[in-house]
This record gives sequence, structure tokens and C-alpha cells, in this order.
Amino acid sequence: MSQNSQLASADRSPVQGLRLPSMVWIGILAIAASILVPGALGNQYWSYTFTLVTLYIIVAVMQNMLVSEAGQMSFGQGAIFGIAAVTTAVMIGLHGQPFWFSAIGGLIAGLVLGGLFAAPALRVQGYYLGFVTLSAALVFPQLLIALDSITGGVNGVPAFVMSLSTPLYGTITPLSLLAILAMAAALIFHGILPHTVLGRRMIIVSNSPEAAQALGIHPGTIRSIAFLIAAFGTAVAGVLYVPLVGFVGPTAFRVDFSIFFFLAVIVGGQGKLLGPLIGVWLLYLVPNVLLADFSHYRLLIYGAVALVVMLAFPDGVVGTVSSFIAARRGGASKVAISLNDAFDHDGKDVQADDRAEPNGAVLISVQEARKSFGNAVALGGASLTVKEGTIHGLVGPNGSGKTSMLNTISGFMTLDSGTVKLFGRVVTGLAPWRRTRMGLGRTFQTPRIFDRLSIWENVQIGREGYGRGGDAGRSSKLEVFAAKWRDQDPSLLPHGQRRLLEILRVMESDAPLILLDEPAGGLSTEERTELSRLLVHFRDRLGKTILLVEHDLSMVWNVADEITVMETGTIAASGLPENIKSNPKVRALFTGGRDA
Amino acid sequence: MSIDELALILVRGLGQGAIYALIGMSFNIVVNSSGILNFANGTLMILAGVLAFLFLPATPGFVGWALVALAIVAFLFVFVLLQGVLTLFPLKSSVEQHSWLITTMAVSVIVSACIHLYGGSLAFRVPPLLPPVSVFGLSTPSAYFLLIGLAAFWFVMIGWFHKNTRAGLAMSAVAQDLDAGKAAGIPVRRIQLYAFGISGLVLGTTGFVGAPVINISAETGIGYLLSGFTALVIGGLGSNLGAVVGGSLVGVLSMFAAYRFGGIYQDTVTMGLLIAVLMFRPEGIFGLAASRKV
Amino acid sequence: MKLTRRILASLLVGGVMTSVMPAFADDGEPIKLGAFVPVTGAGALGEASLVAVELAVKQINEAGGIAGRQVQLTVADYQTDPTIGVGEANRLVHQVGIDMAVGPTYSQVTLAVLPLLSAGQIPSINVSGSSTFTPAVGPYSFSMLPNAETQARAMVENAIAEFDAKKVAIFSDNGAQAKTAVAEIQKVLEEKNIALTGIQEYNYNSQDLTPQLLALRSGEPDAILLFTSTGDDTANVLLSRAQLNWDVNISGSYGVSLATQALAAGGADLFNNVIALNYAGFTYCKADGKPQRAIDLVEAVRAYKPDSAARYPMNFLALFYDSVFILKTAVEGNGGDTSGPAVAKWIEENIQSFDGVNSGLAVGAGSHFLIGLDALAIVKPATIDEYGIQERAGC
Repeated sequence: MSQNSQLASADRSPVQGLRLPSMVWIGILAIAASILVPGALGNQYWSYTFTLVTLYIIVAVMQNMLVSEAGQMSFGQGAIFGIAAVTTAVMIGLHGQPFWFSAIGGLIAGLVLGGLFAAPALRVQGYYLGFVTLSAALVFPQLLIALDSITGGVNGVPAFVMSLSTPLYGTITPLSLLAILAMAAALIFHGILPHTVLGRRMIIVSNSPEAAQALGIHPGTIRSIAFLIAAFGTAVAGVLYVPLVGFVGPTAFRVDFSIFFFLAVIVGGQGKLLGPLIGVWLLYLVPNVLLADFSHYRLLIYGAVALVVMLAFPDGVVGTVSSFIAARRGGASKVAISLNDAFDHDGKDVQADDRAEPNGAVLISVQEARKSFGNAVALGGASLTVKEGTIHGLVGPNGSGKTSMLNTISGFMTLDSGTVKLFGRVVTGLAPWRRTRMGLGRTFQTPRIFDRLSIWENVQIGREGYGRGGDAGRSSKLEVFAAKWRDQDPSLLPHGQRRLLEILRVMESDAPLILLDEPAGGLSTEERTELSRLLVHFRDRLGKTILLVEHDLSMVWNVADEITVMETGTIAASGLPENIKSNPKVRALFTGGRDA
Repeated sequence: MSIDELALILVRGLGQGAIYALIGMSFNIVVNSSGILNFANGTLMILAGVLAFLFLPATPGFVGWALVALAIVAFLFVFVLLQGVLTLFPLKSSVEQHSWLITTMAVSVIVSACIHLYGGSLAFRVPPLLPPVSVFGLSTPSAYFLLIGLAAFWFVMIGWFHKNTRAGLAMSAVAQDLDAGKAAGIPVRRIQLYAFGISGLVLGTTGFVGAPVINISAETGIGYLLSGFTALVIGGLGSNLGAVVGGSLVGVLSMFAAYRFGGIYQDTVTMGLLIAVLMFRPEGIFGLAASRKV
Repeated sequence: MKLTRRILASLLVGGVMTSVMPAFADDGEPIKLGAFVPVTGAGALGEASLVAVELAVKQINEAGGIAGRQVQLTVADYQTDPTIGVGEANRLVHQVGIDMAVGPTYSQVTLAVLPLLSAGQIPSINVSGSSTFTPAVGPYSFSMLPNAETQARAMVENAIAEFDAKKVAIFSDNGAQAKTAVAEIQKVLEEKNIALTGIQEYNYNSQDLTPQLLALRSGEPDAILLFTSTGDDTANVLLSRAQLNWDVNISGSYGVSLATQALAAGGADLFNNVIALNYAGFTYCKADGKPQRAIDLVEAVRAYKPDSAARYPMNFLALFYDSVFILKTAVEGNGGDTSGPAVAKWIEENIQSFDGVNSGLAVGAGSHFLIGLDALAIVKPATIDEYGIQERAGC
């Protein structure tokens, strides 16, 4: 029944991606009201305060996008805001340029600094990136003072834009309307982003850069794009700050200003659309407005409030409240995916004689691969050849180098010596995402499933892999399941099923060459049988070539055309299954193990 | 640059650097056991300095000095341990594990607000225990040498602790693999709390011993925090050797920058070093490369 | 949706409540005085100024107020941040409806809030020394700091007169006042044909200044022109000089006369070969006896807030204390009119008659700085007594 209702609800909204979460509208309404109500009543103080706060919310929304979708720690957003504001103010106040021209200058300055932040993001990430941006934020006001001939230095720069700050009605100015518009745009953008190809790629990159590479995505590019988008939004807010305050001085952009935005996101609720709004309101309004008359105790109360909020709302105010509400509504229904769903929906079995004759071209060729980590030898001169249209089993005890071999082929491990050829081309030094784009797909021992995406999106990202995102003409082989899987949360899937999901994703990618790392782990007996059938189906119907690393030897011997046995980083034996089976060396390796 | 100038920059740079190294080590203890960066470290060190100002008699004898030291260090042990309880509490029930950013900073804000309420923004000056030492005819505060000694002491002590005590071994295990540690029956929460307490010991001794050369006031904690943190990132987060080397580098370099380019370029030069190190060796000089993810 | 409605409702109520507080002040109504002081924030020294303002208001109210009206004080903590400053100025001008103001002390914030004060025709006295503070920027605003040029010229002339300096170095903090002063000092040096051997800066609250002093030492100057802003920084410079065993002459700004911290940290020897500027009201020659008004102020502060009296420099407190009284005198001098133009006009015409802790105030042509050379004196900082009063150098 629950399935039927899910299907029904999915049918009602067939165009995915254009639905705006209701939180976006609530946020826009709340902020518009916070500016327009005092504005209409002619209250100058509240108008100023809430317009300023709205600009800060724009920055926090961008910070939220950076932290939660793109997974980037930036403590330097205040410096981007600052450089946009200073540039705009200097152009207006010191050089007499018109506002619109100065605004463009401010935006460019913000983007340039955002680009500078993105440059290290190509190399470092997470908290390390946080350090770089933090020190930029620390040095920024000092540089403003030091470079006083350009920036106006410690005296700051007054800059007025009469056309924007002349009231239209009460104390509503064109500027306050611009602030509302910019904030609405930022919130709508953040609401839509996770449902776009770009948003999904950001989520993949932030959760698993290696999975991104395996899907043909270059993580550095995606990170840079995220930084530039955030810099743009932040710079817009910085530009609007100038006509609002009428003055720009270096002490306004101290390091705590930058950290403020990060804290606002965490306190409000990371990844939640309304998180930045609540966070900024709490952290700005409480100390600066509510406590304005208690200046001696302002910081003390501010610290206490932040501490208490975090103790009471460990996931931020919006985060904890929304998970509480979700819990009250009761758990979601169980979901399951079946491999029968995934292939051959007519249920027809594959016949052996359907099989196309392999033409024997070599797709993978690893020669004399050597790699050691200190004293530990991962690969000690191992060679492997996989022919087109075959299933090649790779077996061996734990630590024998199977996964190292897969990583060598997909490019996650660089060799000390030896060569790797894919599709006849030498790829030894090539980045993983480039190999993916040549037509190599893979799964991981720990499946890379993204809980922020629905089950359907998790499959779909395979199709968006290696630059095929725009290929709308090609319909998915799994299209019939789209409606059913679109709203399902993969975090509810059991572990084994998460593997299957990853296999489906690789299948969707259309990569002719697939590496599977222990796909049967955690599967039930029936599911293993299904998996075996699926692999054969892949080979015979879809013409794929598969390198299969697996502990379940009976399965390997059932489906593999050739088998390679590894031991302590070297090849113990390689050949046809029946020959391997009788090899005494191999028998010794697996004695006491499962039936070979 | 003459020899006495060089000596001055080196000695004072290393002395300042020892403060950064000690802050770096106190970061390490906690981050290795729980992944938490305690952003209150700077203010906590300052707190120890303020307590030294309050409780050191005007002309302390050695016994009086030692007793006050003991009391302050014990206080910081308990205080930071309790801070650990507060910091770990919300992490038990949250999905996003970022609340420590706020809770540690909030503690920093609260402590410095209390210092401000007591002392305004003026600096607290603590008299030195030992007379200044003459280096190439230039008198150098003895606290610099004591700080260098203290950094060496904690470097050796923490190393010994990790290798030779049960709690230390458990801490090392947790640092290497939290889940495996849990599975092996190590009481992870308790180990993490010990780590907070020990970082309190390091900060307490640093603030007390360094008090004559540390700028003790409500607002200066964040500066020391950031310098110590920068030093640690340069040296390699998680590595005490990295903290010592990074601290020395940052200390000497910022002294040299003040001498050569002027005081306001100290932070800019340090940041240049930070970015250079991160670009060429993201994990820091002695940091461990990220373990295999695939 | 319920939640949204509730948020909207509360916003509406909040907006209405706060907007029905008109800011009219009739006779008999208290005069509202705003004090822009940085109570918190980096480099905040607001506590000291606040004590002085509170004391002045208390004394004025006990003596019957300003032109018969009581004074009501509202504090604006601008956290040394211009953004917050403008927000607080909005609150004071539009929400509280202040009639006059003292502060800010931070040039950046002063320049940021002046347009709001000017638009509201609110007279104010700040304590900022930046040269960009002109009557055009703040027609109803005056400064109780000597302007940068006055101080710069005095420092150079003192160095020549006292130390016979032919070549000098400049050492300063990186505040707005210092920046402008350094530029002015360079002009004066050029004009007087004095060689400049080096310039160095430090960040506020830097403890160890030996590297900068070393760099200056290599130029072998006859004297250092030292511009500091706080007693802590003065102590740091002098301690560092002592550690280098370098007894170079120092001709200091007003900040160098803030000797309490340095004396506590290193004793009177630190001030060998050091002269500085101080407000004349806190200086004396033995022949004349100590200035009674300064002593009265110190004792009043001690009675009012003993902690603060022990901690903060009294000559700094006096600037704010006097500021309130200047506003009082000006309002009463023009028949109780608190409007900006009226108060400014009175100050421009009559300030020399003001007799506070500081006297000899003057308004120069095209300048709103009230402290001229007459209100300053050269002192030997180490002679500071229990009241913060120092002996003049030229007695």
C-alpha cells in the first residue's frame, strides 16, 4: 500500500527539480517582513538592523551551501565580503565612480578573492582549507591598513549612494528592496541546488572524492565552482553593504566577522535552508540588539547563549527541531531494491548460446606493477591481463593485493614502477577521473551511497558520469523505477542492498569496462544468485567486460571466464577456472576455506 | 644583521615559538583522541596568566611560587576537563558533528568576557621569577628560556605517557582508530576527557611560566590561539614534533619579519609560510598523509 | 504555517511597539545624552571613558542638571567596529532620540557615525585625532584630542630643543591617529631639515618590540619620535628599549605620558631620556603648585569607582569628563538650546572661556580640534604622582 501511495505522489510531480521546498518561501516571507514591516512603519533603526542582517543572511546561505553541499570549510567569507565592500567604497568615495560601475568592481574583487580561495581547494580540503581561508581573513584587515594609499587605510572610506538610500515609503529604500531580492535569489538557489546536476556533483565530491573520480568528476573543478558561486553571492552582499552603512573601515572585517558566518550556519543548523536565517538572527540580534543596553555583560551572555543553544540543539536549531518533528511523524517505510528490478524485467533467463563471441582484445593490461608503503609491499611485480567481453575473477586471501590491483587500474594508487594500459592506451600516470571518462566504471568495498540524495538520484549520477550529464536523449534502462525510487531515502537500505545500488549506478554509466570490489559481501544467498545472473547478463547482453574481486569463490568459479589468484602482492596463478582449480598451489592457499 | 641581532631574534623567536608549540601540543592531545580542535586554548592559557597575576605574591619566594603554580595548574586541569564534558555532551546525539566549533568558542568567549569584566582591556603584568639573562650583552627575559624548557619537557612527557601508561596507550589506540578502540573495549569517552584534562595541564603551565612575556588581557587569547594553530598546521596537525618545529618556525619568522619588514607584517609573513606549506605538503611538515580511503 | 504566522505576528508587534516611541524633548523633559564608548571589542578602552561620563552626568544631575533639565545617559557600545557603530548611532538617534553625544574614541567609527549625527543636528564631542575629521564632515562635532599636526610638530620641536636631535627615527602603533601623526611628522622633519633614519610600526598589544627597536638602532638616530596610544604599549616599548641596553632619547606623544603601567613594570629608570606631551591640566611646575581641578577629578573618581581610579589614566578620563561639561556650558550659554548649530556656534565663539580640568582650549580656523598647543605641555613622565599629575620639563 505504501508503495502505491508513493507511486501516486511521485506521479503528481513528474518534473523533478523545479519543486521549491516550502522552507524557501517561509524564509523569503520572514525576511521580507523583517525589512518591510519596520520600513513601512518608518522605523529607521529596525530598518537598518534588519537590512544589515539580511545581507549577513545572504553570506550565511552561501556559507551553508559551501559547508553542506560542497563540504568545504571556509572561515574566510568575511574577507570576500570585505574586499567587495572596500572596492566598491573606494571606487565611489575616493574616485567618484557611479554606484553600478563600482558595484561591478566590487563583484570582480570578490570573485578574484574567491578564486584565490579556490586555488588551494584544488590541493587541500576540509579543515586544512579552513586554515588557509582563516589566515586570509586574519590578515585581510591588516593589509587594508598597510596598503592605505589604495584602501583609505585605517581612516576608512565614506561612500554614499543617495539614489539607493532615499526612502520610497516610510524607511523602505530601493536598497532594502534589493537586499530582499538578493536574499530571495540566494535562498531559491540553495533550495534548487541539490536537485541539479551541479548540486549532486557537489554532494558526491564532498562525501567521497574517490567516488566522484570513479564517476568521472574532477573534484577540484567542482570545488572551485562552489567557491566562485559562494564568492559571487557574498560579494553581492558586500557591495550592498556600502550604500547601507555609508562607510567602510578595516575594523569592520576582523577575523571574528568571518568566523561569525560559519558559526551562524552551525548554530542555525547545517544544511538546513532556514539554518542561516535563524543562526544570523540569534547570533547578531541577541548580542547587538537585545543586549544593547547591557554592554558590560554582552559578551558573557552571548557566549552563554551560544553554548546553551548548542547543548540543547546539537544539530543546530533548525536541524534538531526538524529531526524531532520527523521523529514525531514516525519512521519512514522500509525500502528494498531487488536485482530483478534492475535487469531483464521480463524475467527471461539468459541462455548460454546468446553469448557473443569475445574478440579477444585486451582491455586491461597491468605489467610488473610494484608498490610499497614503507616496509609493507602492496604489489610486488604483479601483472594482469583482462580480455574484452570476459568476466575475470580476481581472488586471494585478505591482504594479498586484490584491492591494490583495482586501485592501480582505476588510478587511485600510483605505482612505484610498472605500467598500466586501458583500452590499449598507457594510462600509468593518468588521474582516476580521466580513466573513468575513457569508459572505466567501478564499485567500492564500502559502497559510496549518498544519503542526501534519493535512491533514484544515486542511480542517476551514474548516467551523469563522465560528461554525459546533458545526454537527455538516452533514456535510462531503469526509467520504470524512477517514480518509485525518486522519494526513497537510501539510508534505510540494508548494507548489502547499498552494494547493489552502486552496481546499478555503474551499469547506468554505460562504461564498457567495470571493476567490482567484493560485490557479494552482505548479500543473501538468493541475492547472490541474482547477482551472478546479473553479471552474466552484463557480459552477454550488454557486452561488458568485468573484473571481479570476490571472496565467494563458488560464485567466482560459476561466472568467471578466467581467474587470477593473488598472494602477498604477486600473481600465484592465472588461467581458466578448471585449470586453476587443480593447481596445487592454489589449493594450498584455500585449504580450510570454502569449497573451491 | 650583526651577531647580537641574530641571537636576539633567534632566542626570542624560539621563546615565543615555544608558546605556540605548547598551544599546538595541547591542540594535539585533544584532536588525536576526539577529532575536536579546542578553540578555547588561547584564552585558557591567558586564564592561567590572569590567575598568576591574581595569586602570585608581590615578591614570590620559590615555595610560594611553586604552591601557586600547583594550584593554578590543578585548577586548569579540572576546568578543561569540565569543558571536555560540555563539549562531548552534544556530540553524543547529533548527526552533524560540528557543535564543538561553537561550544569551544563559546567557552573562550565566556572566559575572556569574565576576564574583561574583572580587568577591562588593560594588560595584566606578572613579575618574572628569575632575573633576565644576558645574551650577547642584550638582556633577555628568563621566561623565554623557561618556556623553551617547558616545551621540551611536555614534548618528552607526552611521548613517554603515550608509550608507557595504560591511559596513554589507550589514547594512542583511539588516535589511530577510534572504532577499533571502541571495539577493543577502551572507554573512549573517559580517554577523551583525560585528553582534555592533560591539555589543561599543558596550558596551565604555559600560561603560568610564560606570564612575564605573554600579553595577558581579555582580548589577546585569540591571537595566541591563531598563532599556535598556524604553527601546528605548518608542522602537521596531530604531530607533537610538528608542533615544536612549526612553533619554532613561526616564532622566529615573525620576529624576523618584525625586524626586517615591520611589526604589522608579522601575520602576513606567517600566512605566506602557511600557504606555501599547505600547497606543497597539505598535511604539514610532519603530518601523516591521509590513510587509504579506497 | 502556524509557525510562520506566529513569527509574522511577533515581528509586527515588535515593529509597532518600537516605532511608537517618538523622540521629542520638551522643557522639563530630561536631556538625553548618548555616549559612544567601546566597552567590548578588540582594543576597547571604553570602560575608562564611561566612568568619566557617568561621573560627569551624576555631578551635573546632583547640581540641578543642564539648564534645569536632568541628564539621561544612554550607552552605545560600538565594539570598535564601524558597522556596529552605525547601528548604534541609528539606535541612539532614531530610537532613543538623544539630544547630544560624547564619543566615539575610534576615528574610523567617528567618521562612520558623523553623517547620522549631523543629519539629526546633534552636537557631539568625540575623542578622535584623525586629520580627516573636519568641520565639513562634522559641523556640530568637536574633538578633545590634539590634532595630529599639532602633536607632530610639538614632538619634533621637543626632540630638537631637549636632545639637540639632528637625525631621528619614528616608532608608532598602527592606529589612525598614529598613521596621520607619522605623515605629519615626516612633513615637519623635511621642513626643519632633520634626517629620518628609519620608521617602524607595531600592532596594539604587542609585548616584545625588540626586533623593531633593533631595526631602528641600526640607523643610529639621536632620538626616537615615539607615538603610542596606551600606557601598556608605552610600557612595552620602554621595557624592550631597556632590554636592548639602548638609552636612546625619546620624544613621545601624549600616549608616552601614560606612565603608570611602565613604572609598575620596570620602575622610573625606564623613563631615562624620555620626554612626552601631556595635557597641561595634569602638569605643574613646582613653583606654581599642583592643579586643583585635576586633583578634584581624581578624588571624585576614587569616591565613585575606586577600581577604575586605580586602573585608568586620569588625563584620559578628564577628556570625557570635560566633554560633558563643555556641552553643558554651551547649552546653558545659549539659553538652553540643545540643537547642533546653536551648540556649535557657542563652542566656536566661546570655548576659550571654558574652565575645566583642561583649559586653554581653542578652535583654530577650519578645525574642530579643541586641544591646541596651549593646552599641552612637555613632561618628564616618571614624575607622575598619585593623581597622575606630572612635572613639566621646561620649568
